[in-house]
Amino acid sequence: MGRLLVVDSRDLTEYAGGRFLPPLVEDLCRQGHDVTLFLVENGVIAARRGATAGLSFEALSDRGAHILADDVSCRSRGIRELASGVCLSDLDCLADKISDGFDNILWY
Amino acid sequence: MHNDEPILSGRKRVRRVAIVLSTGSYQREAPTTVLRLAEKLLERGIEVNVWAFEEAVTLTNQDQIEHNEPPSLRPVLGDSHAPVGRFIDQLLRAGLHGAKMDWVTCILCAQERGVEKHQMGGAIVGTLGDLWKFVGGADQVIAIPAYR
Amino acid sequence: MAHRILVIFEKPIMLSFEPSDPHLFATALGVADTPLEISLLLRDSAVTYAVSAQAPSARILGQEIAPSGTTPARLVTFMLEHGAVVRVVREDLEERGIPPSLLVTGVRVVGRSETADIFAENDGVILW
Repeated sequence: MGRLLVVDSRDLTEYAGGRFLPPLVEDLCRQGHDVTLFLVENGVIAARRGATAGLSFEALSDRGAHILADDVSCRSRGIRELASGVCLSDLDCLADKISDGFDNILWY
Repeated sequence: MHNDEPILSGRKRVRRVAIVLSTGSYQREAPTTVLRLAEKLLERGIEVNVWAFEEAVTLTNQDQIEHNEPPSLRPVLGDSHAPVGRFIDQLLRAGLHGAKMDWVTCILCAQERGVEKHQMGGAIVGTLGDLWKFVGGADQVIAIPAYR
Repeated sequence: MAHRILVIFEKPIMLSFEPSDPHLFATALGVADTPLEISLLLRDSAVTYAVSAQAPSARILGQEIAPSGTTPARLVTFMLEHGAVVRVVREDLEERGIPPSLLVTGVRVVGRSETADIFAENDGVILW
């Protein structure tokens, strides 16, 4: 199965397309892919503990998705506590993962 | 920090990443993220090819200047700030001593915006064909959406 | 003559090689340097601007891109100090998990249903 990266750079509630992103990650996980969901820029807004859009992250993590939030993006938005299922990360980690290679990258 | 081990059996090491960027700076964070990521990839010996489309062709305008902030806002904003072009210039120069970054601006977009003759040294004015050559030759393709 | 101006923010812009969102400091200039009566309404993702603990910082090749450390919250405070009214929409805060305790002191929390009255009591609207 593939190794896939989905990067979310927008607040998931901001555009209608955002609501389809968590189901996409879920479907990819269900198909057996190794999926990383990296939240950056306004994408981390959903990662704040208590955010409605982030409620699905714990279930996605349980399905095997690696859900990471960029530290610079979190700090600049005053996000100190992350939703369940989300790990604090950084662009070094993202660059390491890209260096290792993905079968496909979707940047939303 | 997240430290899960990647699954890499039989996977070829990435050597070249193409980044398609369609947004300018000052109203979007995307160019910042691209430059931050490009630096990290270059550090890892990965060649980075940026293809700048639409408003992104203004990022390499050599005539950007470090202007003073409005006097009444200086207590909050500071005196001045470096423009985005300075950071691109430094990343292009960093390639002299390691993995290199190519920065190609779309000629059509540059001409429309009157910046074709104002591109900084190191930026290359290219064609739509260069976009697809970058994409076709890359181990990884990253396309930043130009959402409004 | 427009005198009471409502300025609406919907999407936050961070770390864009400006000291802060240019729309935010353009508004601050209007608040500080003009006789206009300017108020702000932060809704959707822009409610983030009223969160007090922001720390924007990013480095490229070791150089800080936001050396002034200006935060949207600092600009919100600046505008409050200069007499502006700053409102945030409660439902948008709740959707993003932001309790009122995290907000800059002096920011008013309003319900979405109050925005019609706020719109009606102003002479002009700038929605950035």
